[in-house]
Amino acid sequence: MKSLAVLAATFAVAAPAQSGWLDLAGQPAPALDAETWLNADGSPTLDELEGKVWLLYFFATT
Amino acid sequence: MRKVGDLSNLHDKYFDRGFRVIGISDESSSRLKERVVDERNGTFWIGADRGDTTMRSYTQRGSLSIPRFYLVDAHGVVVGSSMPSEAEIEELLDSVFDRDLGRGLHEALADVGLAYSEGAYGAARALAVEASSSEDAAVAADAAFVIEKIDALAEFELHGMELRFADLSPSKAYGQALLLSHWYEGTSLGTWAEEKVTELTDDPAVEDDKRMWAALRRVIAKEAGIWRVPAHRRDYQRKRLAKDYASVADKHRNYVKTLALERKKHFESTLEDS
Repeated sequence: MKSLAVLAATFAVAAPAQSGWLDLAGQPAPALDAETWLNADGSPTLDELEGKVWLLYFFATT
Repeated sequence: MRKVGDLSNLHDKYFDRGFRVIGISDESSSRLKERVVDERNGTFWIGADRGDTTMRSYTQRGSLSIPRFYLVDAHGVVVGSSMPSEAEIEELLDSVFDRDLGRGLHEALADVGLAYSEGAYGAARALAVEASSSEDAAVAADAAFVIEKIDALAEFELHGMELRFADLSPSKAYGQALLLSHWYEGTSLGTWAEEKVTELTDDPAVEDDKRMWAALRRVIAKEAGIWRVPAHRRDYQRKRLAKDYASVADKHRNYVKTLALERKKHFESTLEDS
């Protein structure tokens, strides 16, 4: 029992913080929304992206 | 920030084949323009999501490491969460269906081409099936080409449809299935949609609005008729359909009203185009 307790404590310390990003593999991509779009004609919607392959990239400039 | 150049190169290289890089940041558009577009020549699409609206749809409570990627296939399904290799992108693009016919058709099939371009695939297919037994080999060959193209399109759409339907309320699923069963009549997707209609007919949410749905259904059933009248009478048919849909929208509510208004707008816009 003692070894299990040590193991549990080890995992508790080593466990990474839960990622806030949703694992959406195999699920429909949620909608896109932004106040302003750059480089795009208008506001891209899921309907317009139907039939296209796209890479969504969440980023910060700093 | 990941190399803007790498992402811009991918976006530009595969743009014509239907690939897009879409950057989302909660920073201001002026800052993004300055830092990404002006300073680093970023060409991919960039959304300034100041209210975190998009971000909230992709996150839950927990730590958020930036950058984060979601790779989405041609059916709108998430297939990856890391920066893809070019080989991965190529593979996904190989499965993209080119909706254009890609070549001209014999002049005897002008209506088939028009119906196809308007998305009336079931009507286009029905006309092509009739023409496929033509004694003119060129007409028959072009008709067979269109049938094959529409069947492939239907298969392509069917692939992602079940996933999309899983997220819809019974009313929305029923309405979409009604439209699909007509638009893709005679194809695998049309058959699948008909089965959905039957399956959902007894759902309480649909049953409650039974009369409204019946009214909408009667107008939807008339849509294919456009392609059964001479070309000079089609505008008249379109006006009538727009009017019929307006009438359904006026008298009814909920999703029936939404769909009726959408179809009304569609037929008004095809009148403007013609």
